[in-house]
Amino acid sequence: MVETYHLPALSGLREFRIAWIYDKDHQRAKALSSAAGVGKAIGSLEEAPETDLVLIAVPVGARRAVVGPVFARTWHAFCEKPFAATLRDHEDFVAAARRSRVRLGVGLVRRHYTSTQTARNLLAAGLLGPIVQVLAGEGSRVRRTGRSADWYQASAQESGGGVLFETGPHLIDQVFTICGVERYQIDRCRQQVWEGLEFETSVRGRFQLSGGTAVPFAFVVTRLHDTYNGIVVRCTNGELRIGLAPDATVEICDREGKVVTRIPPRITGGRSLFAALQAEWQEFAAGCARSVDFSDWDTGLLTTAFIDECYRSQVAALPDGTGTAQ
Amino acid sequence: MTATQVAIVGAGGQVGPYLLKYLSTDQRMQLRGICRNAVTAGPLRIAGFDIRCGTIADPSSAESLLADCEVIVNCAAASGMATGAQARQQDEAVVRSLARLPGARRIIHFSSVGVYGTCIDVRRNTFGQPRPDWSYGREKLHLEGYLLREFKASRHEAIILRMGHVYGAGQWVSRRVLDTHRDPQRLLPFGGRLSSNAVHVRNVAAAIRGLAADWARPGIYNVADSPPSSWREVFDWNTEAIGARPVESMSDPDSRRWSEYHRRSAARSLASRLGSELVSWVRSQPRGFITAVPAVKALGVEVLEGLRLERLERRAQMQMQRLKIGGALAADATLTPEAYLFSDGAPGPQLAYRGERGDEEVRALADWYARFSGPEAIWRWGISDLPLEGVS
Repeated sequence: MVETYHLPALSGLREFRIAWIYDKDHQRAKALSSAAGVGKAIGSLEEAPETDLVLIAVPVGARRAVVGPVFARTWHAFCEKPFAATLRDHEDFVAAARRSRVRLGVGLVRRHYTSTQTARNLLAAGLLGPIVQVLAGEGSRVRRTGRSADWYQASAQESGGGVLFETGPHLIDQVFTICGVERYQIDRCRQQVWEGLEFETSVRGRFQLSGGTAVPFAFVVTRLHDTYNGIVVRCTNGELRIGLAPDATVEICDREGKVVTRIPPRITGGRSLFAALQAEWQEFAAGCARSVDFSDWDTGLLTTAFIDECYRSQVAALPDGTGTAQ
Repeated sequence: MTATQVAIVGAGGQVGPYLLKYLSTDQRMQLRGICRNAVTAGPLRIAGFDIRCGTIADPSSAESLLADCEVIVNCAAASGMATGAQARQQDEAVVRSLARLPGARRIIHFSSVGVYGTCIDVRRNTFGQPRPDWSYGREKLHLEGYLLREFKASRHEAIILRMGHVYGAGQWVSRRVLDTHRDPQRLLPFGGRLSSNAVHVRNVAAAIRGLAADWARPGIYNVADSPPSSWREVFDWNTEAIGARPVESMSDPDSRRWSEYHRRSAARSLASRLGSELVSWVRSQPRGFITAVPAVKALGVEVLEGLRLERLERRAQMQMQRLKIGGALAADATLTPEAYLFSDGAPGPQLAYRGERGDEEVRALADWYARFSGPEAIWRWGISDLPLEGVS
């Protein structure tokens, strides 16, 4: 994520200068610093020169060890998603940050996709009437990864659990953003698990939107099956279909799901993701300049809570390590 | 009679799961899948297959993973590498490890009809001298030669299969057809009369089963549907399975035009293509330059206004309009149909086997399509167990 996305995005913004890069594997940090031509590689956080903002991109299972030293130096921290492994960790990090008077942000970049903002604005304007159902899916059967056995996603502990942790935060946060979800209730959560590693989560329940309306939803993230990849928000007068790519189109459909018109993004192709990343960083930096105070929205607390509840809803794993939890 | 121990290397890939599922039903074989990590292994383990994790590229690991395997199907291909060189090294390492396995094994290595190029033209491409015009085909051909050299010193026997375009539930050709069948610009060249070089994934499994039970003479074979399918048959099989209308046919004149275009492109050297594309780029430059440097246009307008030559100014405005319209039309240009739809049949020996594509595969495709094509399945998801893609 850092090499492919954040470094190029930040390098393109004049208001940011990358001062240093730290990785527990110092050689990797040096290689990255050299390849990107930015900053310098440091051997430990303790020896790091002063800075304004820090990007924390270590796997979520290893985050706790890094967060302490960062807060102790009163550096504002922007964390790659998922923000924390559990809701408890999330709340602990938030409390620690507030005690240290540092601001936190989370890399839920889809908030800044044009499609997300377009859909949110359309729904807020009530053009299609009130929302009556929300459906969201993402994933496909995993075919090949090109990764060896020590890949962090192959470890339940390092990865945080599985596909819900890896993919779920983006999708569920995008749905929350588009629909203005304030609360949720999970009626049913089903997971397919092998030896602690979760390969599929399907959830049904209800969202409470601003204004108090309760709306049924269904959500699936999967590595087992090819699924519909997108968000569908059904309203009384039609529906919106939002793709998941950074340059996705928003489709406005009639009540039968037939496309009436499409709203394309402002920026297409690879530039669209970088535009969203840059907007994300600029928003975070502007927030840090204004105040150290931050809200639950800024850290994606509702998203972490949702994912945490899905995992906690699992029954105990079967003796051979498998589990289909309901 | 003891069962033949068969390993599928790259079991988590495009075809691997189907091979596991289909071959596991044959009691003459005992199947084992090999995956590199727990993420690709997980879905197969959940489906109940015997999967081992490890890297075949490491000789000692390969020996351990494949210790008791008499027949090894290598359908692995390097992916996710940062560079092509790394991918080649990975693929070669796998082949080297297989070559160095102790004993006498039977190796079935998956190559591709891609070695003959993006658009197979039998006037240029022969079985013995394929001339790939793309990096995928070149790498596949390179690996074939590498394998044959590495295996010379071993006691193993190798059969190289140049796989045709695989279709069926979970396969890319079917996904392509199903994703685009409603697009009026997607027309089937020559009405689909051309031989497809396509092979249903069930037929791939049937071919492998046939080899495992009755080993063929070591060498290289093409693998396509048995009996061979035309593109019309392949497309219609897919659209009928989901209850959709057949894909419309492209007219013969248009088909011939595109066929010549693709064959010319496939026959051109990289240097020739570079030159031609540079010429196209230069020709596009007045529009591109003015778009990129709008001050040029502003300067031109100022100069013309200063000269007060109305006729010249109007001619310049007309030219600007033409450039704008030209840009808009270029953006709306007809889609280029895929080169492989215009291919000749792959030259050389075809692997003989009994094809087995049937009703079960139609149902599997329909179920698969229902899950990815629309959101309705999301509401019903999790109510009951779903089959792994292509694996019922």
